[in-house]
Amino acid sequence: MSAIARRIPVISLLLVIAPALAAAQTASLLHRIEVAGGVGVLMGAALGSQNADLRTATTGQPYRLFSSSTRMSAAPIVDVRLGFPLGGRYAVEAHTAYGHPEIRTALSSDAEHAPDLTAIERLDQYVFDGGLVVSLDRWSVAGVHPFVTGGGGYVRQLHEGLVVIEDGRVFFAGGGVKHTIHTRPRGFIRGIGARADARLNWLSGGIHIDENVRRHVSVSGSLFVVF
Amino acid sequence: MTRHVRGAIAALMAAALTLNVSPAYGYLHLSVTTASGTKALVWKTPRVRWFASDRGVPGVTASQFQAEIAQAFATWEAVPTASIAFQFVGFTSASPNDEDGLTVLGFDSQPDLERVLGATSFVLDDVTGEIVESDVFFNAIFTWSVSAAGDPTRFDLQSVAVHEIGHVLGLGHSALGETEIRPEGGRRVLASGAVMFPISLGRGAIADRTLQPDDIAGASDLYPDGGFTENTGGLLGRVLLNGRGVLGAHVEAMSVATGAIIAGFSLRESGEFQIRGLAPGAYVVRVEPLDDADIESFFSATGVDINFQAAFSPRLAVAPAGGTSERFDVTVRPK
Repeated sequence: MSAIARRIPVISLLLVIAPALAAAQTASLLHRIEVAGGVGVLMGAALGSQNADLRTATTGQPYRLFSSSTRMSAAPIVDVRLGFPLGGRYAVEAHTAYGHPEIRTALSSDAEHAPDLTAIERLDQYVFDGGLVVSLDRWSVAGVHPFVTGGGGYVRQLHEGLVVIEDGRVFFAGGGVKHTIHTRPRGFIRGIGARADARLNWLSGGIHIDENVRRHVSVSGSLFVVF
Repeated sequence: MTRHVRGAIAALMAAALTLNVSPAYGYLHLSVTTASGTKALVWKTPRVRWFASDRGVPGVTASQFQAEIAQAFATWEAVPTASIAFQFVGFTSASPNDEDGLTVLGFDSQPDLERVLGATSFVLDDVTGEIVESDVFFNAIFTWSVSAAGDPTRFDLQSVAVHEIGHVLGLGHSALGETEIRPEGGRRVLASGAVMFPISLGRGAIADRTLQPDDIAGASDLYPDGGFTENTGGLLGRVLLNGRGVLGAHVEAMSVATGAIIAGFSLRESGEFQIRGLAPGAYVVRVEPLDDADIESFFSATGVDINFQAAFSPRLAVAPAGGTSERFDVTVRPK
């Protein structure tokens, strides 16, 4: 009985102290530049269909030589982020990512029975974007701090051989979580941690067939350093 | 001393070529072999002066004929990436078959050419390849139409004129089309992807009033302008069958982005082909045997192999602006 009675104040004390430490950590990292680097995956998306149509004597009824359907495959990405706090819960972040996805064009229904085949090309794809990060500290749990983000930027795609460049735009919305692993009250490096990001990207321009905007999901995990 | 040679290319129905084709290009350019090598047939005058025959046929007056031909010339002049200009001089009673220094277009009755709608002939400087004169006759044994919407019982004059004027420029035939053999002989066109396809879409069809990407690329390659050379690219590759080159394979490049098709041929024993005039980007490459018209309507080569199956290249080929793709091979299988 008495032992239990003694533990309750101890646990209560720990619960009281823990938020205080978390608040102290957050405060110590305020107004600091954050650099993060990580890896992830940019999921694929359909780019559209295109038919090799020839003209016929009857208008409106083309002769289909073959059909094609093209998509960009999922690919690993490496990405780097640079964050600048604005104060309070807000920060701005610059981000760049590199991937090496395949363009896969499925060819079918050939008028002269050429075997169906998927023709492939590899791209080098670079994304440069920036956005606003909003911390959701009220939903922090056990030192894991959620955030939401949104923004836009530029996409640069280089075809195989790096001789043809396609430009496009990207807009994104997403979120993630951060966890600070270690902090220091002073010094050049003030903290390190890990973060996970998930984004829904809307890509327009670049390699495309239909005019509609493509949606690519990306997820990544990073380590960050606070200076 | 400069000699003039006269050649003719029949159009829209098979007939033999008496001119060469240039093997380096995708689409066929007419050429002539001279002592100093093979020369592409081109006009070197800044403005080609032409005359219209003053002879009409039932359903088409001389003035209607002139208006349709002028529109056909304007169609080629409007290609933004080519620089070629034409000038109507006047009507003439001269025949479109005379070697008289005049470029004349007109009707002429040629009953012995019962499957030829029209034909183009040239007088050339066989040293430079320069076209000195080019005449076009439209076979008066057929019935012709100048109706804006076409006449299902007649051949559309403007459509045939656009094709023939392509020859006047120096273009050969495109193989971008599909045909089937008629039980009574000859071929029926199922579809065509170029005005320069050698067989007509038939009576009433007016589709050939409008140039296709293959036609535009061919004319622009002969008379480049508007950044054509800098802003377009080419594909370079080989067609192989059992490890050896295929001569005379028809190679089609379809833009993944736009669906535009520009085609060429493998015109060397090595199976090498080159297709130029492509907008930069990725292309599907398809190879098929040259079996949709008489081979002689395209070029007069021996050893053309048509005993293989149509096939796609397993890689998308990329045409860069102002250059050519990395060389690649397309392997086909025997039939």
